[in-house]
Amino acid sequence: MSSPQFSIVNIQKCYKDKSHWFKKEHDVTIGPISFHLYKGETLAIVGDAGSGKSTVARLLSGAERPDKGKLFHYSDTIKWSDSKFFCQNIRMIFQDAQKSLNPTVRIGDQLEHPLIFNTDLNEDQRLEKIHQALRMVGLLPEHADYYPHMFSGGQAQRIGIARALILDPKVVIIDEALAPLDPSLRAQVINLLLELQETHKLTYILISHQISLIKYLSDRIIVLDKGNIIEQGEINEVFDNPQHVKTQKLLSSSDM
Amino acid sequence: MFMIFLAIFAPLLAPYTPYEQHADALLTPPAWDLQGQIIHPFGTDALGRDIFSRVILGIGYSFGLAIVSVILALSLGILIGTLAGFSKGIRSSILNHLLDILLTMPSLLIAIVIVAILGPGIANTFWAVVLAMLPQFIHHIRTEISELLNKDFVIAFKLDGANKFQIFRHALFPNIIENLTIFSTLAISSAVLDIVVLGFIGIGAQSPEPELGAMIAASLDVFYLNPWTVMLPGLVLFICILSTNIVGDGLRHALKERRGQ
Amino acid sequence: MRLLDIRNLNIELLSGDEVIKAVESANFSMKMGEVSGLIGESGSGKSLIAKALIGVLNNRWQVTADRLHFLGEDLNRLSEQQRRKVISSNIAMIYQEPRRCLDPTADIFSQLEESLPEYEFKGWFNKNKQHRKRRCINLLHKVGIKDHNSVFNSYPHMLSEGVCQKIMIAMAVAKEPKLLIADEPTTALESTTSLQVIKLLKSLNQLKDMAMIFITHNLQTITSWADSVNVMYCGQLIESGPTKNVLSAPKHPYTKALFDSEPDFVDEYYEQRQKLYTLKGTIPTLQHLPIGCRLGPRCPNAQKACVVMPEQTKVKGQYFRCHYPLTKDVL
Repeated sequence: MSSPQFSIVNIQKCYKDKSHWFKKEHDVTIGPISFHLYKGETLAIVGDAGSGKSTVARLLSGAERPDKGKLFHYSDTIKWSDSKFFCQNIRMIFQDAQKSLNPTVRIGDQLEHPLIFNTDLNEDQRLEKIHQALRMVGLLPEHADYYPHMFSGGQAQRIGIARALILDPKVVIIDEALAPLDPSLRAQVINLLLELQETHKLTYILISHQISLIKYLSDRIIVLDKGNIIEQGEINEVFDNPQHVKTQKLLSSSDM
Repeated sequence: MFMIFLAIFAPLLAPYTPYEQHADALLTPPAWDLQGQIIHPFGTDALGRDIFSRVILGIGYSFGLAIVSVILALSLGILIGTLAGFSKGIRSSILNHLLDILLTMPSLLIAIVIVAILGPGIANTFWAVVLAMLPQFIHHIRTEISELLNKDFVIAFKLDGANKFQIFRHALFPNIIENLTIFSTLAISSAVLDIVVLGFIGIGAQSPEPELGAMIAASLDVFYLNPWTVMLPGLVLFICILSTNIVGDGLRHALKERRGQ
Repeated sequence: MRLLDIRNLNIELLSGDEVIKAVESANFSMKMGEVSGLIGESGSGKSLIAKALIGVLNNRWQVTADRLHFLGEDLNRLSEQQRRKVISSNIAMIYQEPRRCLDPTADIFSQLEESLPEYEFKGWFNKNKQHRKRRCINLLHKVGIKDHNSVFNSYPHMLSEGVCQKIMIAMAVAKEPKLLIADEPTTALESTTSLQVIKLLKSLNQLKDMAMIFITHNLQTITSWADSVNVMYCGQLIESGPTKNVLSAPKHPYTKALFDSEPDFVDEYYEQRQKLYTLKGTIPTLQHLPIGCRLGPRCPNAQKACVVMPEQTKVKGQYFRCHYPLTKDVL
């Protein structure tokens, strides 16, 4: 097997979780968690609510910093404070597309901001890149002048994808982004994501609780429970032979 | 929708323009003896001063000052409130508790206390009103900003690589400006009242300055003989506050429509 | 006697000068104790039908039907009060976001108590209180919540969505209704809790002979245990029939497209990462509804005749509206 593109070693984060199921305050620790990411694969992260999967997403995208742990890109150590690295290499697609767009700014400008902050392209080059990104997700260059509320849910999700991909990242984290979509729309977005993965050799981290989608889209899977990895491996192996009781429960929840 | 905006703005503009024009023509209120003549549309007061010009200037003192004080309080509020909204932990906690104490007192009371410390006069009234309004602005802005910071699009923007200043300019400011304009118009009417009340009870503007509250107080003795000396400034005051509130209402309505799209 | 018999239901929205037909000519019927799935994507009007039945639509909506029979009574002929009485004692509804539907300022015990039927409140004030408490405990146990004491004293925001949904179900079945309408009850839940809720609904249907209308856009939640399915697209009920028949031989192109857009749905149809079959385009908005068959612009089989709304045809117990239905069976 080739060397992993990214290695996450022993990351840990501690939270004070308030208003939990009739306990007033509760210390929740996520981790230590370690896993690898290989280039071009889709890694699924599954678990119940509170298992830590959204925390892992936030830590990996750079939105939060872990209390402990290391991140390696091939053999280089990446500092958690290196936000530029995270912006340019690990991008996130949010669950609620409309909420992840600034309602007062045109989407063309929203797509331009990551370019302004992270690249040295001049204005014409940026414009070209924005048009290219819009066309890539099936929208028109004219849409750059619209505001977010003028778009439907599906279109907003595509803009989210365009924003994630405009910096040509290596990894895209899909944080339950497919769950709120209708079946036909979800199918279209999935087809788009598959196409983009092929042409750009992207690595996806798919966080979801829809088991059939996970089986269909992923190469490997990590199962989390209460902040720890309880099982991980190739998708077919884990599905055919789940070792842990919780994994069995999760995977069989699609059989109704 | 824009037409409603303009139509409502007109009464606001009207009291202003006469102020501009007359400020050039009348430097200080002159002392006239005559009554009931055209050159004195509002008559004269007990000391023979032309009420009309005094009222016009008075609008400038009461109303204009109120607007300026709100603008100042707003700017300071944005500065402090934003910094407070960004901060977490002990710093934010101390600030919160301080603010809470200040907020429990009505702004008029704070203003009176400050004027009592600084001494009477229109300039001190101005500063008192600004300082009295500041806690409310800070609190309001701070809550808005800390709410916004948790929103998805702000987090996404941060992940795009924006630093704090850029987040403020593009993500935070455009989203608070709607609420702030409405809040400010309310603050203006409150500020007007504060200035006028301070003038009325005698610790704000002092005679011979033509501040509306002071004018009303000064003319109270002659109220039964010449009611217009009290009623006219009072009426003008009423119109000022009413027009501010109408503008505020119109703004609220227009913004609701825009958001409904 | 049929539980529910609706013929030619039209729900129109009066917006400004326009009249928008949000639901057009829907025919819907159910037997006693039947589980019926109402499938459709957002904007298809499925929640509207349920709300029209219960009568919670406001004045902007106009509901007309040739027949709107519930337990043999024509709901259109009854007065407001009589209608409400029939509905409140026989129909209950649960919703998508249970935590939002519970009163955030009241603890669970008082909310459960409120949902008990009226006769439990007769008699001396204190005498029945013990009895009511016992009834509430029973209800919670029935829905699988064993620790009733801590739940009684909690407020909705302290509990997880799954538990709130079970409480909603408990409140809904307190009056032992003949029909339970579930409007996307599991969409907001995680997969394991979702499974629990569905098992609960299944058992309620079997033990209490409670009929159910299960509204969803997620095919997998309903198709394994519903007796019949009804598929809606854009306000039109385009196909309905016994589940087995519709699954094995969908007649309407949209039904087939819906089944094909889920990877694991039709028995290992897709290899891993193979492109999914989708209809091009998106669902039209209410302001831009196509004339005639509303799938027209997106349908691969569409031809000239499709600008006229197709009539309902019946083949082997399956109803559908299509000019050019699919005749081959799905593999």
